Amino acid sequence: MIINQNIVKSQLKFFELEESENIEEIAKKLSVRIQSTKNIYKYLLLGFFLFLYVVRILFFFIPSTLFYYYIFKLFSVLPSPFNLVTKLVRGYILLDYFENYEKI
Amino acid sequence: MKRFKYIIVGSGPGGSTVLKTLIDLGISDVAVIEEGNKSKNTVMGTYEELIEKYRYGGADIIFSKPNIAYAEGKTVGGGSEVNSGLYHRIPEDVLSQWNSERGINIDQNELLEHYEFIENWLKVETSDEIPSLISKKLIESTEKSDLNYEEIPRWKPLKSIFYDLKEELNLIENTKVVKIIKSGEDFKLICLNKLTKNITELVCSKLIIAAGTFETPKLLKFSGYKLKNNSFSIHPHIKVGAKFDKSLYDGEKVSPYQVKYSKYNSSFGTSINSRQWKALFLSENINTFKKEIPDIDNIGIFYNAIRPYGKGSIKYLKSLNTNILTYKFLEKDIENLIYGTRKLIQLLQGIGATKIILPTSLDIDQSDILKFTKKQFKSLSIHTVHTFSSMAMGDHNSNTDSNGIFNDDGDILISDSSILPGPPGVNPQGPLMALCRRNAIKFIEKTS
Repeated sequence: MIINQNIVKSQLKFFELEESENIEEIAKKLSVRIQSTKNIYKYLLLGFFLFLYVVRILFFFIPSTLFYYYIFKLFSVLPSPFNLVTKLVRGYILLDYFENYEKI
Repeated sequence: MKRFKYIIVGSGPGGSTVLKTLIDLGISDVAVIEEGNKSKNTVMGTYEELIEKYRYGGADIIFSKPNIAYAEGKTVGGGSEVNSGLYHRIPEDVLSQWNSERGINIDQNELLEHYEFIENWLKVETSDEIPSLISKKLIESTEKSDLNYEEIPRWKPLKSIFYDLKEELNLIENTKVVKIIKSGEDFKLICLNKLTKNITELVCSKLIIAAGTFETPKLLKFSGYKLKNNSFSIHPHIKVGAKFDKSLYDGEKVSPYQVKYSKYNSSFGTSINSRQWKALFLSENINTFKKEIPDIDNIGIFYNAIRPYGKGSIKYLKSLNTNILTYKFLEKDIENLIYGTRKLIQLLQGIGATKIILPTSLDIDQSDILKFTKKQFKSLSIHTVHTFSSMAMGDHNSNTDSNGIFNDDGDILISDSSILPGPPGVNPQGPLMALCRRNAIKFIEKTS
């Protein structure tokens, strides 16, 4: 899966939220949510995650969570539409994190 | 190849209104094609609901300054299954404006029988429910001001009131119409089953398209029809968070109370009260998020929606089978959004809100919250669930005539929110259903 648990962990770290037991489920839901977006955005997003996957290999010496933490932080300060990637991913993670959180 | 006299594309409020009209007239040679399905009941705003009942998982974007997030339903019953169920007739001033600007010549007396029909069918009524805690705050806020609140009547969702009761309907679920081909007097519809991926063909002589504000023109455009214009309208919403001393959490229901502030074309109301949506709202500003998450239950989300003058534009990318949406806020709309929101903030402060939170990444001091400027406007998050007018009825430069009939083919009736001549300034389902029934009767009379 291109969208892995470390992406979720990195964003929970950004929000200073405790790691939930449902990280795997949140990552799966994130993947489904991205697959559900409009075709043009879906392909752009999947291309983006594939790009990150390759870059991640080059930066193998940086811990994965830290790598994604800074990548998304970098994208969040870029102008629209680039910052929307971070906004969308963070939004989806928060929705699923707090939906589970409510049930606890 | 199956053949019907009438085929309706889309089972939302507009498509269902035409179906009901045909059935009541004793016409049964009709099929409804719906891209979604009769999903099970879901909880508002949850992952399950967004994936099952919304197009694109509830996330699409209209590019603007600032960008606008929007969502629309994709399920049997369409928008009536996922919205708050608030019912309005078309306001008198709005209808007058539509008549003068679009030349449609409709008066309230003509619509009266259609309003009454819709209200009886959908069992539109005010409820005896006790207002939610957040709605009580909205009500309380008006008591100390010059504004009044009103309880808006609600309808019953179409699935439970219509589709679940009528097994004999030719409802074809999980099926997307990908192309319309005109062949002589007939329409051949190329349909894709979303589950099996099989392609089937259906034939009809009269076609009703009710696929929604953006899907209806897209289907026509990609089928080779000519559109006179590519504009659309919305009701932009700004959310405002207000923190109080006590918890406002009493479940996720949205109570049907609204406040009108006509000076700035504004309507105030309350938003979904679930923790995950409040967390999403707070995440616009990371400092606010970290500080306020522990008190999330004390925060209520309110909104200011305006009836704007600006318009959006649709661009079609045929090679990608998609559309790109852009919107231009006019100066007057920005002023109305800012000044209307200021009034909402004043109302909330007047009932003891200890903190006001705006959906922006900017750090704004509480003492400056009422000084929010036009410059800062671009940093706000705007959203909408009300989109319309891409196939607006009218005489001038319109995609449909004053009876909702498509200008490029007189055997196609458009029957969804896309036909509204402009922003109604109220929740659009009531207005669009009344117009759709009026148009459906004329279309059936003409084509029978």
